Amino acid sequence: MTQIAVAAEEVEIADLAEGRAPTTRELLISLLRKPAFDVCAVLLLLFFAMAAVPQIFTSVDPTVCDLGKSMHPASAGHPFGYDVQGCDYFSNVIYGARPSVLVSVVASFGMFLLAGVLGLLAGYFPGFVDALISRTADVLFALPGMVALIVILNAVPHRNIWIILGVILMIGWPGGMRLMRSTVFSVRNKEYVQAARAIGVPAWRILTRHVFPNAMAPLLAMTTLGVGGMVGLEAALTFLGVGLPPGTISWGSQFGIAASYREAPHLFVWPSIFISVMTISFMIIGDSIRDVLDPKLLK
Amino acid sequence: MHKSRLAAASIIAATALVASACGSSTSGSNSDASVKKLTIADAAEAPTYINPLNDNGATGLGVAQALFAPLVRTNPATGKVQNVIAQSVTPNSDSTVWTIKIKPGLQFDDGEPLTAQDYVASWNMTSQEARGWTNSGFFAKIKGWDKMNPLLPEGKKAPSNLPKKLSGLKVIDKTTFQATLSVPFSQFGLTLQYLGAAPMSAKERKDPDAYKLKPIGMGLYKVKGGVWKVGTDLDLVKSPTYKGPFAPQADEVVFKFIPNAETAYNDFLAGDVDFTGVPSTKMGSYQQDAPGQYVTSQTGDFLWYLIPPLWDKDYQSADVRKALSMAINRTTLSKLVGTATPATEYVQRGVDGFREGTCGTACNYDPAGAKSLLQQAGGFKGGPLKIYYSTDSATSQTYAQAIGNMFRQNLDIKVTYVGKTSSEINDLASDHKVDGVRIGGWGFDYPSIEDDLTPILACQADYNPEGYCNKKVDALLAEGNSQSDSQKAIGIYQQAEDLAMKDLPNIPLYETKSIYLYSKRIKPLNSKYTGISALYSTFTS
Amino acid sequence: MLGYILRRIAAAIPIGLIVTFGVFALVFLMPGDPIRALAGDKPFPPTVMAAKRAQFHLDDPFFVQYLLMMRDTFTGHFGTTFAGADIGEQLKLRIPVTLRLALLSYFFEWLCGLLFGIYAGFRRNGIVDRLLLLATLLILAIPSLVSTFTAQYVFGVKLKWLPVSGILDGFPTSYLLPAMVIGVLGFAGLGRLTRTSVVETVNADFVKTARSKGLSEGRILWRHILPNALLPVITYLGLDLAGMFAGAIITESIFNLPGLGQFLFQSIQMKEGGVVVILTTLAFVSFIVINLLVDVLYGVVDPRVRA
Repeated sequence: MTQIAVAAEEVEIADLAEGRAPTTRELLISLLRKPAFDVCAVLLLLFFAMAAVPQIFTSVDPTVCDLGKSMHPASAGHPFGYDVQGCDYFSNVIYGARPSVLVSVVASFGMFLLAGVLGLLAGYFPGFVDALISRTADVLFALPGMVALIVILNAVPHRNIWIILGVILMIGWPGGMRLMRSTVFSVRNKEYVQAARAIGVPAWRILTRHVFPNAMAPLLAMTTLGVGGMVGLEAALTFLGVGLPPGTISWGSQFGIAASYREAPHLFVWPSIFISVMTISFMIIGDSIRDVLDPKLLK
Repeated sequence: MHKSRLAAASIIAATALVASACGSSTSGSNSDASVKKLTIADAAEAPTYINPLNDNGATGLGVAQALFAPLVRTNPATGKVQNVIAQSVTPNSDSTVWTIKIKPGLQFDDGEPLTAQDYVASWNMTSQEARGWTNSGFFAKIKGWDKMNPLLPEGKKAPSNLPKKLSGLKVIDKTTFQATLSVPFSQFGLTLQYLGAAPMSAKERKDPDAYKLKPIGMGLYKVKGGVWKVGTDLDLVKSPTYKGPFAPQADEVVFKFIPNAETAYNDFLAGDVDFTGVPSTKMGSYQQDAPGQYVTSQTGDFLWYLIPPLWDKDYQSADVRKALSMAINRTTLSKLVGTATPATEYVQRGVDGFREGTCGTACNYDPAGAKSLLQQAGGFKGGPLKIYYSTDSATSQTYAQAIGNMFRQNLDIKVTYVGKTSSEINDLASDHKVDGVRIGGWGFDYPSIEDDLTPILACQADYNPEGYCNKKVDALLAEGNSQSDSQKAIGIYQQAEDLAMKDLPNIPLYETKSIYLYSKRIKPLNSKYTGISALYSTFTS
Repeated sequence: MLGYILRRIAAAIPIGLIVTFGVFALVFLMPGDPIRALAGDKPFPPTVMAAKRAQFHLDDPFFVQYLLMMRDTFTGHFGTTFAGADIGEQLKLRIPVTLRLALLSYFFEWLCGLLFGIYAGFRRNGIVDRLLLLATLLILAIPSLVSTFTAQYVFGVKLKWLPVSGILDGFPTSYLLPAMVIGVLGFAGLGRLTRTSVVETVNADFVKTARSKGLSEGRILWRHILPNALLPVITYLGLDLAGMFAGAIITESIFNLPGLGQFLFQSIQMKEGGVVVILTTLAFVSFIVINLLVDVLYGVVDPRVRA
């Protein structure tokens, strides 16, 4: 929910061309009128609560394990059965929400901000700024992302969630930046921007009020599409041996391990369902916000 | 650090490899039913050259097993050593001078005769420092090896005028040569089954690089068409020049190299291969996937240990190590691993001299006893116990975590995990920088109790970077090496095992067996002495 | 135009140098000893280690290693990997594998993504649009490892329609399954992006203006909507193509395709700095070329952007 609030505040919507500026309150109301949004918002709230206070969802300690029960199926009191280590899987999936929610939200939001701001600057200030940002992006691009991830994560002595997040952000922004830059390209020549420039509105104000709101939609779409991918990325890193260390409970590592033990499908199914539901919720919410925020769709 | 040994892969592993590499292509294009074709899927990168003298990997040696023949072998039916290329292998009274006579009239694939000179020249070549050939260490016990491979201080380059020949090797006549060792070694004859000591033909010795993909072998098979093209399957046909004993049934052997074990497994299920291994992650499902078409080795292939850093003061008390050992439930751990049996000894099953449970009560699962023993020893200090696991294996992390959970719950201590690539862990271990326990496995190079003990327990041994050193154990091992009566030697080695077990430098965990899948056309050889071999499969149809 | 292209290429050279240096340094900084890794669990004698190190210049200081590697790379003397494979030969074998996989998967991706995306964007909220949204939602929500493993198991192992792995059945049979998996996964992103872009352009002022001027729908579509709507799409495609090497790592590993991705992953694991630099240089050059093409296309599609 924080993301929505921040996004809504972040973006002051005032459209010279359309001549009206909805308030945050108006935005929220129109969002809440969409039933799909409501359902997904509730689901996401649930996931966030799971990440914040997993204790309220399960009283079972996820770290009490009996290897003798390794991969046993569901039984009374253990609705999801047991994992490879013989720990209760339900409580593990619940506790696994925290790193996964953190990775997906922080990485996606951070990426949106970083790529958005840099793309905005690069697209609006051709010349030195654009060259600096674009050439840096070129360098990072030419380093294939997966390669950089594997090499850097192999090199750090003790991997943790913040290091993984940092590396993802550091090498992940150029894609969004280029997308943003190209949209800014087409927006900066629009009549309303030219008009604003002509009447002497300061550059930062044009950027925040006019260019950013009007150019952010594709990037927002790309970002919401990417949220699930972030959780999947965490799983892929585990598959390649550079994910979170054991002891950290996360959907990604549960999934990565389950991919190896396919004879116990419940290991595979539950984190997959949780990851998928969370991703779908993010995407539907992302779509709804985009629809509401996009000044061009306001009529 | 002068004791260097047979290089990497165990013979057993190599055999299995051939076994694992075998599959018959049922869906292949070859529809001629009279040709017995064996297709082996090996879950490994394709070798980049074929030269057993410079290869210690299971993959390369598995291929070499088809292309080259060893001097001796272990009889799969009796477990006794028998001659293959050798006519006789005779030691002197204190096992320092070995006379090896090869059978007359044998040939390389190019028609050249196989002579004693070929062995001596190949072994000399391999021992030359500047070549950096992998199996150089195999010849380290032969006189003169030390002079050819002087130990130099870090950063100093070797002089260029090093001797080019092992002074201990002597050609007696066309088919006889003699090896003089620098120390008595009663097991030397047995080690000659290692294919890393195969002969290289005179032509190839002149320019080994030119022949790296068109090897001139002297074994049962040769490369079809003479040259192996990189990126294709390795296709072998029977060699008409091979006159030695023990030829397998297959007329044609195809090696398919598939780096991903699960992919190889799926290829088998799809009917593309006749023989492949079962990846560790399929241990729970292979019986349903290929009912009645799997074979489990009767011997353990690898003995796995929990290795504590003995140089670290937190692990120096034997009681602490025993407490850790007693906190491990080897039964459930072995079940998690798959086909593994709990290990409570330092010698692999099937090896002459194996006795079960030499570890005694220190390897019995006893959480309460473990906890009180740890308290007696003053508890575990030095923060959380660290478990290192390798990031390049799918299951290493799972096993580390299983052991960690047992420590955490049974000993009431904090546990953290450190994941690194195995090469980095080995690196850190030899620099004494692994500040926690790690899991490591050992499989013998030749089936002898000596080879299960020396590499792990001798001071300065290659597989003992933690630096365990008990002079009494070393003395017993040396005594066994110079005892020419093999049964008496085994008794002495067993004393060494018992003595080391009191210190428990490494904690035995489990022994893994290998499991292979085979198509309905073949029945792989499964020996309790030499393991599973696909190459020696019998054809059922 | 030619001057512009030359300038871009000139600008790319320092970037390429930074990238190769950075990659080589990163691999150099990775812990672990490649020669020890070569030995497996049982170590080589120290003299063998020293000799092998000297063969690959690993006993030289970092900068000497870097310069030697650059000299070898640019004079075409690629040499061999630590394990003894001829690098030039490996490239000759592997480049076609990755290219075939990439071309086939992009064929699937672009065909489906553009067709559905454009159509759905026009008929917003229509049945195709809703189906597209639902389908892409599912594709994007299911982690790609799940879909890849599942596809291999269902179509390769169970139904036996397509080869499980390897390239022995040749092109296109061996490449169909992995290419379809990549294509379908990519289609979801492309389809949605295209749709969003088209929807936005349809609602843009200049389209309304054009329509109010009474221009024909066909003319509006081809002259006004598509050129503008396709701008972000072209960027996306460029990104996508540029990422084909790295993206191939996981797919090539699961389907055992001996391409560049697999080579790259193995080289990283073995700390083969030289090979990683060669492959990164390849990726870099293709990236520069593709980006140039994208920028030139921009100029063609959007007349207002003339660099």
